[in-house]
Amino acid sequence: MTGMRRLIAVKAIYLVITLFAICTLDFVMFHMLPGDPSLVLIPGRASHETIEQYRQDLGLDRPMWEQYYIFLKHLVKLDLGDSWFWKTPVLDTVLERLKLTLFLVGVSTVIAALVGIAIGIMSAARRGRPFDVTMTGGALFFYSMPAFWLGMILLLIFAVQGSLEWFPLRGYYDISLRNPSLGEMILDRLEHLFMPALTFTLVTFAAFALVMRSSLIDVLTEDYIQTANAKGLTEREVLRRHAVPNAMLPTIANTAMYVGYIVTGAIQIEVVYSWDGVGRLTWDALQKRDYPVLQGIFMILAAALLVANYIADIVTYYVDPRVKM
Amino acid sequence: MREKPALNLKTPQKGLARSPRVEKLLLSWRRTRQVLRILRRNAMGMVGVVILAFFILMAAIGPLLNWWIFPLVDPDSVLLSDPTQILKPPTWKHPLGTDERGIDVLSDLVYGARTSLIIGFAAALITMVVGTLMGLVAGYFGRAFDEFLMRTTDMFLALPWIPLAVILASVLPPEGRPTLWKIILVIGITSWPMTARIVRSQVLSLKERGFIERAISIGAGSGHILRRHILPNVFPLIFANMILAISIAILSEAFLAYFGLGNPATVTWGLMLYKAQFFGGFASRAWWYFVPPGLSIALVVLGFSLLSYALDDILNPRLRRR
Repeated sequence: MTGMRRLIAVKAIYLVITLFAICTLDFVMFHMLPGDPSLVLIPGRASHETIEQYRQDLGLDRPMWEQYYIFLKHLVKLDLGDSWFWKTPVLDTVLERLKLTLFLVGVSTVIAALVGIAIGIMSAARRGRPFDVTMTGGALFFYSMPAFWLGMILLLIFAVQGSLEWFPLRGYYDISLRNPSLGEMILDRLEHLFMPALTFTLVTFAAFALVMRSSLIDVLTEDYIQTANAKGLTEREVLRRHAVPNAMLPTIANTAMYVGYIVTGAIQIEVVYSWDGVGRLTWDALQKRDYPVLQGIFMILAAALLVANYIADIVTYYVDPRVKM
Repeated sequence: MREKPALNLKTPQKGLARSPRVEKLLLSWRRTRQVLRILRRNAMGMVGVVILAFFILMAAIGPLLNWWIFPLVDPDSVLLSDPTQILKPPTWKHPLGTDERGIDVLSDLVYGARTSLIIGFAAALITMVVGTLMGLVAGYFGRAFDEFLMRTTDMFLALPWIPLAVILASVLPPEGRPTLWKIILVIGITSWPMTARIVRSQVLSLKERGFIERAISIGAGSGHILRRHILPNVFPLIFANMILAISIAILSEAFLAYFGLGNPATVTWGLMLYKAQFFGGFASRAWWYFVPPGLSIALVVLGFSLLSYALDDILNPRLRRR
C-alpha cells in the first residue's frame, strides 16, 4: 500500500504545480489582450479622468508583478472577479451554469458508456464479421462528425418549424409554462433534454466503443486466453471471466483522456441547442467580450479536468498496480 | 601486379554496380511497396484512401473544372451573386441549392475544401514538427528538460480546449481580425503535446536498444544519433500520428469557425455551417446548405481515421489476425 500512498502524494504535488502554471498562463494570456480593457468597459466616449479612474479601480496602473500578486491573492480566496456584462461574481455565474452542463453531460455519458462498452465487447468478440464491420464503421462515422453539425441536422428533422416539430427548438424549459404541476414540469424538462442528450450520446458512445473494442482485441491475443480456450471454457466464459476484466483497465485509463473531449462536445451541443450551461456561457461571454467570465470558465474547467485526471490516475493504479505512472 | 583491393564488407553485387544511394532508394521503394501491398488487402484502409483521394482531388482540381458541367464561382471574390436566388433548394443549375448570398453551395463546397484542407495540413505540420522536436529532446536528453516537458504536456492535456482556443484567437495578433494563419497557429499551439508524449515514449524505449549503445561506443555525437538512428525509427509513428492530427485540425477549424472565430472573408466548411445556422438556414429549412459541408467534414475525418487504423494494423503486426 505504500506505493499507493506515494502515488497519491506525488501526483498531488504535480497537481498543485500544474494548477499554479495554469493560473500563471491565465494571467499572462489576459494581459496580452489587445487594447485597454477600460476602453471596452466604458460605454460611449469618456473623459480622460474617467478612464484614469477606471484604470485605478481595475488596478491596471500598478506594476505587473503587483497585479500578478493581487491576482493570486484573489484566486486563493476563490475570488474570480465580477462579470463585465452581467455585473455578477464570476464564480457564482459559472457554478450556476455548471449544474445544467453536468446534468446534460451526466445523463448522456452514463448511457453512452454503457451502450458503447457493450457494443465494443460484442464487436471485438465478432471481429471482422458483419456486426463488427457495421458497428465499428458506424461508431467511427459518429466519432468523425462535428458534434454541433449532428445537432443541427437533428434540429432540422425534428424541431424546426415546418419539420416534424416533435421537440422544442431551444432552451432547457418552456418559459410560457405558468405554474406547472410537478408532472408537467418533469415532462417539459425531459422533452427539452431529449435532443441534446441524444446528440451527445451519439457522439460519445463511439469513443467508448472504439476504445473497448481495441483493448479487448489486444487482450484476446494474449497467451492466457489461449490457455483458457484450451481448458475448454466456452467463448462466453472466456470473455466474461478472462478477457473483459483485463480489457476494462485501458478503457478506464483512456476514459480519463476523453474528459477533455467530452467537455468540447458538451460546449458545442449547448451552443446548438441554446442549453444554458457553461458552453452557452462561453459563447455569450465571447459575443460580449466579457473577459473575466472567459477567464473564470477557463480556470474552473481546467481545475475540474486536472482533478478528474488525478482521480483517474489513482483509480487506474488501484485496479492494476503494475501500471507504470 | 595490381594493388590489393580495399576490404569489401558489402554483399557481392550482381549485375550493375549500385552506389549506396541507389541501394538505399531501392530499399525504401521496396518497403513502400510492401506497406502498399498490406494496405491494399486492408478493406478499411482502402475505403479511407478512396474517400481521401476524392476530396483531395476535389480541392486540387475542382475549381479548374468550373466550365465543365456546372459553372462555379469563387465565393471569396464575390459579395452577392444573385439576389433573386437566395437560399433556394437544388435545381439543375444549382445542383446543391444556393446559399445566403445566392452563390451555389457546390461552389462554396469546392472552394471551401481547399481552405479547410490547407488549414488541416498546415496545422498538423506545426503540431508534428513542434511535437517531434520536443519529444526527441525530452526523451533523449531526459532529466530536467524531460521533467519540464512532461509537466507542460500534463498542463496542456488538462486545459479545456475551447476556452483556450477562443482566448488565444482573440489574444494573438493581428488584433480582432481572424486570419487563416492565426487559426492554423491556434490549432498547432494547442495540439502538439500529445505528439510530444508519443514520440518521447518511443525514444525512451529506442534509447535502451543495442544499436544506440554501439553508435555511442564508436563515438557518434548526440546530433548524429538523433538524426540517423532515432528519427528514422520514430518516423512511422510520427507519420501515423500526423494523419490523426490532420483530422483533429479539420474538426477544430470547423468548430472555431462555428464559434464565430473564423475569417468571414474566406469560405471554409466550418464557416458554411456557421452561416447556415445564423443567416436564416433554419427558418428556410435549407437542408441543402447544412448537409454538404458537415458531411464532407465527417467523411474526410473518417477517411483519415480509417487510414490510421489500417496503418496501425501494419505498424503493429501483433494485432494482425492470426
